[in-house]
Amino acid sequence: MRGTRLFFSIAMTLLTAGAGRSVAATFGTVVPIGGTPSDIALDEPRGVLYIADFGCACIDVMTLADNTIHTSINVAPFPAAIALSPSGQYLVSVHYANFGTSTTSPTPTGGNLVTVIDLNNNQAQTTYALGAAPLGVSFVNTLSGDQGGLAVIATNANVMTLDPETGEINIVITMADIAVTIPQQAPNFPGQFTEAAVSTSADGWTAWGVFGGGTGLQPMFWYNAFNGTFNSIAWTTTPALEARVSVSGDGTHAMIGWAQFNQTFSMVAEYPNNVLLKNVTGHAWDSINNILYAQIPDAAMAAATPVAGSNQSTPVTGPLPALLVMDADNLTFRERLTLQENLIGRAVLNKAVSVMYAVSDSGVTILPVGSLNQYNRVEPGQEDVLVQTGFCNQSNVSQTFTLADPGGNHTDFELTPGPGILVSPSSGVTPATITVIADSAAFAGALGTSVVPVKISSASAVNQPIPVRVLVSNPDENQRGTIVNVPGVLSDIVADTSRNRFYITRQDRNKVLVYDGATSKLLASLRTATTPMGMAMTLDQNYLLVANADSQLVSVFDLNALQPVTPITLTPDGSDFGRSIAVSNSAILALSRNGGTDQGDVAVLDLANKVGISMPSLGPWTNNSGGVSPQSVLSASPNGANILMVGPDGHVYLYSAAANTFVAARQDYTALSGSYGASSYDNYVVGSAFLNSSLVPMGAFNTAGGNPSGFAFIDQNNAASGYLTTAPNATSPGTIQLFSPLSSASESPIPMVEAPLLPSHGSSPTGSTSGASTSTSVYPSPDGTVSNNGSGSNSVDQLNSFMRTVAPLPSANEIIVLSTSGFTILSQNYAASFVPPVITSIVNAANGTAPVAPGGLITVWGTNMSPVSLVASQVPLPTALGQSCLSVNGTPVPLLFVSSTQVNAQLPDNVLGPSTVSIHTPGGVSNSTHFTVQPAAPAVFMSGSAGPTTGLATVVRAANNQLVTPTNPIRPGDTLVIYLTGMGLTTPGVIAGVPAPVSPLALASDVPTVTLGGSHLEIQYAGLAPGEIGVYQINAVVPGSVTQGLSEPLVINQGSAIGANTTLNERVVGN
Amino acid sequence: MKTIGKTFLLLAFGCCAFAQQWEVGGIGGVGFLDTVHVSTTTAGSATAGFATGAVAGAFFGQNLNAHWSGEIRYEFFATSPKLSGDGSSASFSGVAHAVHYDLIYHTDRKHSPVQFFAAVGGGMKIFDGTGAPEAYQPLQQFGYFTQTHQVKPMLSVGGGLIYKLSDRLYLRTEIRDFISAFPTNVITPPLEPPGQQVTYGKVLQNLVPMVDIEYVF
Repeated sequence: MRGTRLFFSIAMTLLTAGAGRSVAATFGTVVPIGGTPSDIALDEPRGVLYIADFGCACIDVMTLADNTIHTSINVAPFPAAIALSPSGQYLVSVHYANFGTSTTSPTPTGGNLVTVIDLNNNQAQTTYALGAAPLGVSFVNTLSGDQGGLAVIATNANVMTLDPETGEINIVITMADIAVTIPQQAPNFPGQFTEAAVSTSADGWTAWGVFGGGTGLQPMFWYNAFNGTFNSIAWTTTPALEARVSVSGDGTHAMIGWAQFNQTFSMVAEYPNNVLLKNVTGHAWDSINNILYAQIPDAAMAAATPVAGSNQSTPVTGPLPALLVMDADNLTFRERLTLQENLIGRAVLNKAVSVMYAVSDSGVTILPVGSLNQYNRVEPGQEDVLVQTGFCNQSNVSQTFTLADPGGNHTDFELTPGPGILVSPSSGVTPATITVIADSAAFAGALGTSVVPVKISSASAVNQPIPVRVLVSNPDENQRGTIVNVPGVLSDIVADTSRNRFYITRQDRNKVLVYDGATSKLLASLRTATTPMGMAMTLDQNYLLVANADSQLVSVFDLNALQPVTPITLTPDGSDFGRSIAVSNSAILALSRNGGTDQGDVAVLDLANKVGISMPSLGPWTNNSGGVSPQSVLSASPNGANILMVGPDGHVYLYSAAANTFVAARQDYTALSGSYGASSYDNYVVGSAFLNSSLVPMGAFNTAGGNPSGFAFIDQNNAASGYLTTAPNATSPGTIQLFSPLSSASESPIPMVEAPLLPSHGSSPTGSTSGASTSTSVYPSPDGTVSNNGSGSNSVDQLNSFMRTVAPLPSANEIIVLSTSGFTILSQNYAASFVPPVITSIVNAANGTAPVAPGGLITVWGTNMSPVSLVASQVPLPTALGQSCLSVNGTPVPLLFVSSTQVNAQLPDNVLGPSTVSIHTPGGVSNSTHFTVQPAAPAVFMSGSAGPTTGLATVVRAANNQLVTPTNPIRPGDTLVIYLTGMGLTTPGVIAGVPAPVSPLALASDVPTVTLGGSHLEIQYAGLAPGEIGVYQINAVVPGSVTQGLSEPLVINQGSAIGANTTLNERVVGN
Repeated sequence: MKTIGKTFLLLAFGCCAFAQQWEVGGIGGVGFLDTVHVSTTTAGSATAGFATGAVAGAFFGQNLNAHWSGEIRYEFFATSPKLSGDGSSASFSGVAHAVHYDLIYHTDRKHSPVQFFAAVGGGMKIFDGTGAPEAYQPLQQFGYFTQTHQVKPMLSVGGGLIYKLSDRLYLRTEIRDFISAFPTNVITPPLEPPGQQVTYGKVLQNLVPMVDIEYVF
């Protein structure tokens, strides 16, 4: 029996290696068992994996050392589930004999049994008969410390515990009769017979279980053996939850099917856009590293395709099995790995969480998740590449991105760009730097931003890389705004005027991005629950509330500390998933999708008690019923007096804080979408219409510019007014307009550099707790089509029919608009005519003195040099930033920072001697200013700070890695590290705007001398600082004979030309 | 010449008449009032010096005659450099060592159970800043704490009582003033722009009440 089976297994392995899905490379090894796997148990001390074979009445024993089945244990028929005791002495197998009456099939043999195998006693077996059919088993610890543990057995009638040493059985709770009878028609699998699973937390104390897996009605439970607590509930879901259970290390959470629950059975995370693929699901929870490894079928599954050059004549159809690697707590996507076959049962991790064993189609799939770096993978260094043409540079513009294997391997790749984009090289081996060129002819006339994916494929990579999104921006001089690229699916924006910040939700990575209003620099990322939707700040401005469309949790963040605090649970006894939040003077309201009715549900959030309670009614109108669409949105007036609720079906509601209830509801439209907002003057905007205080339509915007996408009231001049953005489509330029609904003081629309984000018009989710629906998105999927994003998130369904895209930031005199590439910054006086720029002086960026040198960083002072203040966030540095471009001798130079009065840039290597500089902005071209570039002009950066003291020279003592100051003086024998600019040419040369290499180092061609108090310092290194742009570094050693004093001259000299030396005064003490 | 000769003779006779008694002992005490005034042009005034701290040491002496003795002493001062000003204070790790030779006059060494004595001497005091240098220190507008050491000449003046505990064991209670120049290498006046200055008091006095146990042999 064993010999035959072993031969059969080997043969199956060979066959599998040649056949299977026609993919380039897969992750993991499949070990077929020649039968039907039902469950596994890992016995690391013995170096084996037990595999229950439902059909053969045996448990195969696979040796971990060679992944080969050498022997098996014969047991009673139909072993449905197995578990190993904490001590490893007992292997418990439950045998499912839930036989139905059949007139056509022979009566199956066996019975409802549990077998206890004593692995320390020649595998002696003791069998106990059970009154009910056992469905799943797992072990928990015992308070007595008994190493035998306690087996928790779920049956179709109860949950019981079994002491393997004594055989004592105790019923914990009785359940309704569940699970199917056998025999069943093929192809049904053991999991579909038992429809149940039980798993235990890594600490051994809490067992979680689910019944009715795959049926849509799933009772589930958890049992804590430490305090004897048992809790259970039943969830109805569509699609159904497969009977797969993975438990967090401390037992407080469990992943069941595609959903994650806490111990109150709130659904804290659901995998977005999951689809039903019968019997296919498997996952394992690594609590140490907060990783969930899972196969959960989703709409983003790539189709199997033949490998180029292979001899496969016909590809195997169907979706490609893929293992998702996600953050365990909020299911944030990390990467997707191709599997050989589907996971269809329990998955376990070894103690080192380095190897995952999972029940799969043929038997067991072994996944060395801790050794991923040994496998070929290809990943781009960035998600987006922004290529900006325009008046600064009308020729073909190029940018670069890198391709690398995270494990450092050399992995083949092939790139397939979309139309109008050239990539070089288009194939090769990692690591590689890819140049992306936008063909100006292809994008001529396209004044907005075009989105073109570059698909990445590889014959040897086991991962499925997400395409790089190339954004080609081609505005003309009349278009206003500065683009800041932010990858991902952005869903909402809120301005924090008191802190001069703004917040943007990125749905596909489950985070809120925090930006500084003055520089538009990213300050922080705040992790949310799954699929963040709408945000609101509390009235005291201290907290940010974020509704999450795939979680019953509302994330709460302390905005002073930029840290999360305890989240709010929406309707703990219900199934609400948040979508929109608004804060009034009386209450904080949340609009959710009710998972049971699939209607919109309005709840009141209790910030103190961290709970949201559904309103019994909306004044005289019903809540959680037809009339409240789950795609509705809420908007509070800035003075907190009212909250507007508007739905895509045309329903509008008004909540009054004074009355603390809803006071008006109308439906004057059959459909609404786009912009929405509430004014402090009792006016409202919905779509292209504006409404009065009773929600009666008063008029409509002129939307000749396209679809309205965002509206933000600013309520100036004692009247309701605000900014309206429109665009006909995502690739056209958008428009922005100051609009006063009740006055004639509206402006003409002004063109923007790119379109604001437009709302989707996806269908309402129906009958689905997961919210899956069809839709489109601008985020590419692994197969390169522009559809759902790589994580599988149905982003557009979550995006809603309405968008909030405009955030005025008066504290920065700016307006931030969510747009195609990320966000666009507009000056508050964007409509004003541009004034020509004027340059007043050019100095080095280190110490503000005149001498500058090739490759050095410079500061240009002037006026009207940029409509916005912006720090460059991309590398290589752009030559156009904030709609400004600086040219030296007619050639654009890389920019680090622009503002109205200051521009920081880097001089190229090929500039020397008398030169001219000019700047080109939407206001025109500045005067050409003359200056001289010296061969070398060393200047130490004066940007150091210590305590409250700023403006310190960046000279560092290597002994303690602190700046040299009078309280941290130089000593004999010290090694000093000096950061400066302007040391001139290097060998090898480095292109301006590109970071200096690590290897080979770029050494200064003109080696400097450094003296301290007249004593020469030994130069250990003088050249560009690796990884920095335009920053040089000198490492020098102080001699033992150096003169001591409070103010000794530190002189850096590179010759006799003007500006070729620089002097600092530093304190020197003896040892 | 004559005077020197007579003095030498007297000392020699005194020495021989006292049978050349030696003494050895241990010292324990607390040092305080160890600061100088700091005046600045723009930052107000402050004090710089050393915090109150424990003092321990030892001595070895010789009774020259019935009333005079000489001893060489070592004291260890566990006192940290300190700055106070602007309503706050800052300190730095540090210690000091003193080595000096003193002449002691006591009323009647051999016969009285309690004697008064006075001491005067000189030597050197070693100030040692041991803390880690930091790029920023609080109150650095008044001075810089520096990880270094400095030696200053020192004058030692004091007096007290000697109690006879037994024929060979004596207990001393005394108060000493250790006077030295301020160690400006360890607490350094900051460098000021032209026209502004920070001035430290020149003399540092360290009052140390002590208790000594001495054994005579």
